[in-house]
Amino acid sequence: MRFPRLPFRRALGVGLDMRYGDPHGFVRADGTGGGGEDVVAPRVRAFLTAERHRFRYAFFSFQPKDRALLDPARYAPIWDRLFADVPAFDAFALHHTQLNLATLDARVDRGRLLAFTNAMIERYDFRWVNEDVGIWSIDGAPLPYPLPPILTAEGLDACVRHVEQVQSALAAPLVLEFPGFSDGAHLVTGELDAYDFFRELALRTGAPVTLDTGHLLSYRWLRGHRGEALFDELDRLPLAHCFELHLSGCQVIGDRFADVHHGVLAPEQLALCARLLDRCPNARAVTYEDPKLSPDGALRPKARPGFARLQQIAGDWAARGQSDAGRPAA
Amino acid sequence: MQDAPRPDWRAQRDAYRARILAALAPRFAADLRARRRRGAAPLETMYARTLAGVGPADRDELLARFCASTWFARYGELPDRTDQLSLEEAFYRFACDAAVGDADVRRVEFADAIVRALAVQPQPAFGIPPEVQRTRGGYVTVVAGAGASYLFAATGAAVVRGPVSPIVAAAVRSRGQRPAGSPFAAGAWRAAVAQLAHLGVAFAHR
Repeated sequence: MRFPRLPFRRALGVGLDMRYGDPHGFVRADGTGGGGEDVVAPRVRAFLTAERHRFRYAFFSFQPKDRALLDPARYAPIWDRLFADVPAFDAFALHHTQLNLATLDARVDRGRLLAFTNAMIERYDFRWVNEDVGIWSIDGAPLPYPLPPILTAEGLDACVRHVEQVQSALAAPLVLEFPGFSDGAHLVTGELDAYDFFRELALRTGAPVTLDTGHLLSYRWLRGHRGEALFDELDRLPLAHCFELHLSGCQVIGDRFADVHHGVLAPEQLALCARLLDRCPNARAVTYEDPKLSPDGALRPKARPGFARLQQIAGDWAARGQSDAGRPAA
Repeated sequence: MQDAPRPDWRAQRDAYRARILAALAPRFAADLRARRRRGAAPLETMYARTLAGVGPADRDELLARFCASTWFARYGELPDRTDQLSLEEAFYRFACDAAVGDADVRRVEFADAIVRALAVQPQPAFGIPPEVQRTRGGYVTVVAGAGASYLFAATGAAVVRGPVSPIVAAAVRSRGQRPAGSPFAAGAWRAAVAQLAHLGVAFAHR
């Protein structure tokens, strides 16, 4: 198993989706969104600077800034600026959005994409690259949200092939993320249980994995489970492969479980986080993903209690890791 | 009784792809109406005059047809490919096939839209339409419409557009090379090429 090499044993980190023209990502320098060069959104800069002491690492999601052909030289100015503007964390990672690991496309050539990604890894010393195992586009047309793979034996075989191809070409470990099931739930197809599918994918590729609490809960919710049953069957997941947990903001809206990424952590997410940390012996990273911030960079008041609880859970877990320091790490 | 054999991967994949595209067509259409891509207005602004005769209710139906068309299937926004059509071109080809709006207006709006996109993305992750020519440092196209020729050029990040004389239009179409038997005098041709160069439109020759 190719786990990321890290300068810490267990830590809490933060993840941000760096979209262009987004007040939580990159914005135009003139502040109107209309013109000027791209700059890091002031609230992102302020938050990471003020809260640096709470996080050991950070990941940033890659988003294409326009419809130009990928070229590291076109992205270097703004990404260099990002790394100049935010504090030096102990490690950085890249959340990809273009690998399309469950693609339905007949022809797949990732040569330029992987060369670009490796240039980013080298330039910014990304310790790992992760992506939700999903269908992100169809024949080039971007989907409004990534869809889970076709949950069949053939779909699994195809995913294995794509993951192996990317793994073999990437200059950093590829960490596979369990996909979300809240958007496009009516399109989920295949007879395999998603936990089984994901476990087999991890076992066959030897990949470390990210378990996103919202994504796991969305799958259990889709299968009709409620209450305590949301936390059942965790042993069907590739727990020994788990390197990272993600917690973004989720919410039950009506009878729908929504993975809304609003930064307000649901009690079920925190409970699942604690249970998973007890069961994942090789987990090294817990990421608070996509916090939503006020213009001055403060966490939204509604998000603060959940984040405080997450810090407590992750802090206790990291402390247990210190006492277990004699054990070999993966 | 035996279970029916499960479709192979290709059949599963193709069936699921078709199901997704059909199910998400309204989302694709909404995205086309709302989203601003860099170097591009939303689709209905980009083709405002072409679509002027299509009422609001009919637009929903028209966009749904576009999203189900072969042209939409060839459109893409993957940043690592050039074998996909830009949205500007995919919709233009669809509108031509469906005879949406006036042909001259369509051509002009397409030329304007694609050149604007190329000004922002000079190395685009989409194919260059055959109507558009590369220049030194940019792109150019001329279209005939409403009794005149119009030039659209991306010169660096700037866009140059406006009516041009027949000789300038001819000079663009032949990449500045005066063809044998040209009806235009050599001196006038040189002046037209110089005029283009002054606008920032110059052609590379081997």
